[in-house]
Amino acid sequence: MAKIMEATEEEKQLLETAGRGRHGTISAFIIKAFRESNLDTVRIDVQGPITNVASTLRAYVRNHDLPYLVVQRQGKLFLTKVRKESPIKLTEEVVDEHIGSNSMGVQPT
Amino acid sequence: MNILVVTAWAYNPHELWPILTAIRKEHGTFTVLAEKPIIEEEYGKWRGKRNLPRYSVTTINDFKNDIESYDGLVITSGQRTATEKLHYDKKLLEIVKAFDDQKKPIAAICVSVPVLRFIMKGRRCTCFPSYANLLKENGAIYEDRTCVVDKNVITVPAEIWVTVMMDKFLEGVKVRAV
Repeated sequence: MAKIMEATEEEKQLLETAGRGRHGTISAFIIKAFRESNLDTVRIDVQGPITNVASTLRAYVRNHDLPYLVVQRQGKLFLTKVRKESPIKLTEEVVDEHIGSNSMGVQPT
Repeated sequence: MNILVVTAWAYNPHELWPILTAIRKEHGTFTVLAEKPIIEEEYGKWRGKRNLPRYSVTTINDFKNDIESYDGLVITSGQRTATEKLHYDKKLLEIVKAFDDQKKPIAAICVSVPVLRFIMKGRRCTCFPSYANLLKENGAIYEDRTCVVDKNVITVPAEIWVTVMMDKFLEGVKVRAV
């Protein structure tokens, strides 16, 4: 069992200065800076091997479903925006194209 | 023939496309409603295939309630949690009730069948087996069959029977039109 004890003033002060929750140490700051920069592609200068940062960034982008791409080229690390195609309006013409093509739109007979 | 199709935003392509195809083969028109304005294939979303096309549709909240201009309602499912949100969408439940009050054909498939639970009291239906209790709690008579037709409501438990469902649904729409 655990006991509940009143926190001292020093401990309360510690909670306020420590902040709330974990923000991570690398990816969140890079992504935030990239978002605020309004640039399409940026090069990230890293002290040390870039593979560690690249894998961390990739995991962050994937887990948060962000429209960004992490690319390594010639020993350099880049972060770029993915151009997502604008959605197509789902109309009768779109379905007719599916019927015409040999795709999942064809009803099994 | 004008059909209202409701789908989960993470839709199942093996259900949605055969439904829309069947309507077009009968030269019908349709309006697709979803919880969100953009729908994506559930497989693309959850298997990391992000290059699949996304489609824009009308949201359920933006639907004008012009039910008189539609001949039938088809509800299709998709990714499970996305479809479960439809179960508790108040406006969709009202739309379903309005279609049933006017005795228009209603078809539902798989996980989307519990959307009909409030109109199914004392009526027979089938659905994806894990949702059978939800239907029974609301007075529906669950049957473990491939396709159940009770009055104007057609239900099937899985995507492989979608063509059977659409055959019976479109037959009902045509009969009603005559």
